[in-house]
Amino acid sequence: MIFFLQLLVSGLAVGSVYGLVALGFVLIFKATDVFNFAQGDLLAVGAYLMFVALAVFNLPVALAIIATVVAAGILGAMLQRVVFKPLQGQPLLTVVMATIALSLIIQGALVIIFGSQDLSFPRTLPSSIVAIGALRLSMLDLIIMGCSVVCVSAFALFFRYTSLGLQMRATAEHPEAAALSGINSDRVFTVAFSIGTVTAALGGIFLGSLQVVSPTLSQIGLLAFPAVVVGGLTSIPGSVIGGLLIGVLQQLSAGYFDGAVASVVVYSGLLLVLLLRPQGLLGRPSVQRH
Amino acid sequence: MAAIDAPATALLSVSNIEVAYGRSAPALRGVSLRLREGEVVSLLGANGAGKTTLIRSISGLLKLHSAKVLSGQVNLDGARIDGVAAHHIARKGLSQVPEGRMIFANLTVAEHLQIGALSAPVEKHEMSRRLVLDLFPALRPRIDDQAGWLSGGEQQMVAIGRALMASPRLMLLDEVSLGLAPIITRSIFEQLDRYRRETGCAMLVVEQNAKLALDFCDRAYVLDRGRILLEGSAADLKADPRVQDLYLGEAPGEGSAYTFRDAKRYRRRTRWLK
Amino acid sequence: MKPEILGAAKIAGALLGAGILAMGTALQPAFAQDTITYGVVSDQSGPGVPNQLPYLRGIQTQFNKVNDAGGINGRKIVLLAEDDKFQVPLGIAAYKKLASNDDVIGISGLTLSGTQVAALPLVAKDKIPVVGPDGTTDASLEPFQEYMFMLVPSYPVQAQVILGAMKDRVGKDKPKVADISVNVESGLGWQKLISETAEAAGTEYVGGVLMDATATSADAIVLKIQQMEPDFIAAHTTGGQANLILKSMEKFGLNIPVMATYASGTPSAYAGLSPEIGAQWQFVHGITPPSVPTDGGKQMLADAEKYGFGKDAASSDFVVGYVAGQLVVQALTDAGENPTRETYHQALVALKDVDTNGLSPSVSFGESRMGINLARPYGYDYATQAFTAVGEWDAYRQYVK
Repeated sequence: MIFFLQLLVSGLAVGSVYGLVALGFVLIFKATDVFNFAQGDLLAVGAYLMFVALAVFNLPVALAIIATVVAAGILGAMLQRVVFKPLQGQPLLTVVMATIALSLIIQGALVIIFGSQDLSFPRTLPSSIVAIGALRLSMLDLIIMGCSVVCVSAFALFFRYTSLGLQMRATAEHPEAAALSGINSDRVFTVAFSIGTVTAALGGIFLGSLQVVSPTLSQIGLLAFPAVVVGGLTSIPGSVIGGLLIGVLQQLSAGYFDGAVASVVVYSGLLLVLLLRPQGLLGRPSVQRH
Repeated sequence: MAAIDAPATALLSVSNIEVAYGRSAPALRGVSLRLREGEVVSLLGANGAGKTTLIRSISGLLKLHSAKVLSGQVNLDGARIDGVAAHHIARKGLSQVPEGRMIFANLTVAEHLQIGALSAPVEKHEMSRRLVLDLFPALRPRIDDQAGWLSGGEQQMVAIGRALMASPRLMLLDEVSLGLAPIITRSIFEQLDRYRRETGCAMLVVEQNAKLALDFCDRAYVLDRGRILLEGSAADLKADPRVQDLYLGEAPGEGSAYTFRDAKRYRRRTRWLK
Repeated sequence: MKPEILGAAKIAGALLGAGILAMGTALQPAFAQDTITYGVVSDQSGPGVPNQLPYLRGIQTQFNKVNDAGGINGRKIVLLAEDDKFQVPLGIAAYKKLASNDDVIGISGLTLSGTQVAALPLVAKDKIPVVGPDGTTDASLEPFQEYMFMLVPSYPVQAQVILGAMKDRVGKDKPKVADISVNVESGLGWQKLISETAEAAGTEYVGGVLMDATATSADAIVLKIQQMEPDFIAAHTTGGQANLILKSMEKFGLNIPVMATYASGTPSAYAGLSPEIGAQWQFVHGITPPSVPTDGGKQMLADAEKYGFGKDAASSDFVVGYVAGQLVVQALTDAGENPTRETYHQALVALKDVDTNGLSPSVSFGESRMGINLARPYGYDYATQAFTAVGEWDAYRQYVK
């Protein structure tokens, strides 16, 4: 039983990271209709930015996180302006190809700038061991889970109660009507991309703290996609739940079966969800686009 | 019939525009239209005559539909607005109740009003909201319901309310009566009239229901195949035999049931007008 | 410009940019008359990059160095580096291009085990000497391969050193060993190897766990190991995985010593851990990792800095490439004025007791073609942030049969 609970908790911590990245992805998709294949690479960028803040600028951890988040936000806004705004109105496939190209460019650029070696944060978030009964948790796991809860809640509140959040919801649902009502869709898209990049960067900071910073972080970031699909392509809470599920499934299958089987279990679960409920767990049955 | 010249200080002036979608033949040719402060003008015409295109040219939605103004100008309050983004135009005091309502199904009625108010100064929000709920009391109990669940009539009220929240100087109303029972339509137009009297807001009303429109407006234009066919005061047009024949129809009290056969007949009979 | 064309041009530009970036700073061939062309097949853009790119840079460093000094018997050596993107078909295609189109005199790389094994018959047919891939498959040793000159001690040699050294260190009569292996072909091979040779080494095999390369937590793995109650662990994982394993072991208060293959020999394995925890993990290698202070190491780092490869020179894989490069240059020099594949091959066989200035035990290819048939363990010193060797090379010869 302890074995199961221990794995469950580890899975939730890791799943929170996937959930954060997935959240950013869904956000961008809902607001701008862009299927961002580079989302996992933005996670890697976040980790490397954090590394730069810590190792090159020698900032204390808290300051480094803030600096990384701000830089990620600016990067997201720039990506929207430079890459996605000019592509507005283009067919879906064109935009998808652009995100794939972006993904490759980011991966290549990271290797050129930082080399291919594993790097590690010179100072990390607190990672002492916390014992709760027979369960052993890393403080880092708790911080990650806590942060994810805070982030998701913050975004939920943002969407529900702020004017900008309302504008984003309106634009996502009916861009034409939103324009008629005086909503500047360009600004909405920029904000969406900024937030989407920030959540991915946060995932990168956490993942880089859990393990090492390397080009393979991009691949781990790819696990956000099953999370998105399971949760429902248009549901923000769904993406987080999807991420948690994927994380837990990964850990449980690694614990009860073998490492090899883990991927099979995760993707079989994904397939099962899609077969039984094509819109994902919390998605809407069909996405209306006018 | 002589066209009535509006004075140079028109609120809205469309001057000789030619509009085309993509590389197709122009959907509007040499169309001119003027509207003064506080006036109500109707735009009549058959399906496909170009009414929606004209509305899009004014509200800035041409680009979204891959169309553009090839020549001519559209001016709002003296400033040129053709080619300007829709959200900028909305913030200049132009509101639209679009064809098909275009409501946000997942947002509540209250949120619709909130969105509509984005273009208006904050001081006016509360007053506008009270006015809207006064005009359409049916919305009061539904204020926190998601708009997708409302009836057609209620949704139309939400769409109009959203437009009113901006305290516009000019409202574009595109096929407000579409799909609604006559009794509801009448009630809505009554409230629009009341709004106009209280605020002096100008309106450009696109309607297939010509009788309703001509009863409501001061002046009207008739659009046919991308050109202005007729223009004049509501009274003059109501008396015009061509308008009577084709738009006001025989069935009393009904909106125009304009069929394809009618269109063919009309075309044959008006060949001499060109 | 029309929006569609502008959009398409941007995408084309992006893809082009991606292609150029992905190629990295690989040298471009210069087809001058009086040159020697040499080929390398390695991963420059895929998941093997953390290990294979430094390896390539190590070779490049040696070649740049000899070119700056006037070349090999007056001829510049030109490096043609092909990217296999960690895929066997691309690796074989790259090999064929180098062997036939480019007519290289020799090849290095072919590190990906699938590619190495598939290339063996082609190498034998083309009679191209292959020097020092950054990994040794069993097939390259058995049956005898005339043209394969291996530098990295094979997994069986590493297993022998690990099992033997740990048995002596633990001090028990028949200590229990478990394995943790990365979930790829080499890891599966390692697991099989340990389970089969544990007995002969005087140890008892109690089980093993496979770990996914993209796993973000080793909790499940460590919990399973805990249930097996081994006295020590023989591991084959990446540095990143080692780091995760150590973190999990710390979380659960497990104090089981681990000795691993060279694959985990990177500083990142030890990052973010206390020295007590870090002391649990040692790895074996047939070369000396860069941070261990040796004369050869100092020279190597200086050379690397000179050519802009300072970052890569922190990796043990760089050392393998650097040593391979040294041997290639020496053999080509020994082969005389107009080296051919044949004379170059003979020169390689003749290399004996080559001194690498502390970067490895002395290298002799000879009949066995196994240049370095030995390994020794290394640990990490948190105070100096450098690797330290645990003993002399000779102390571990006894374990290698």
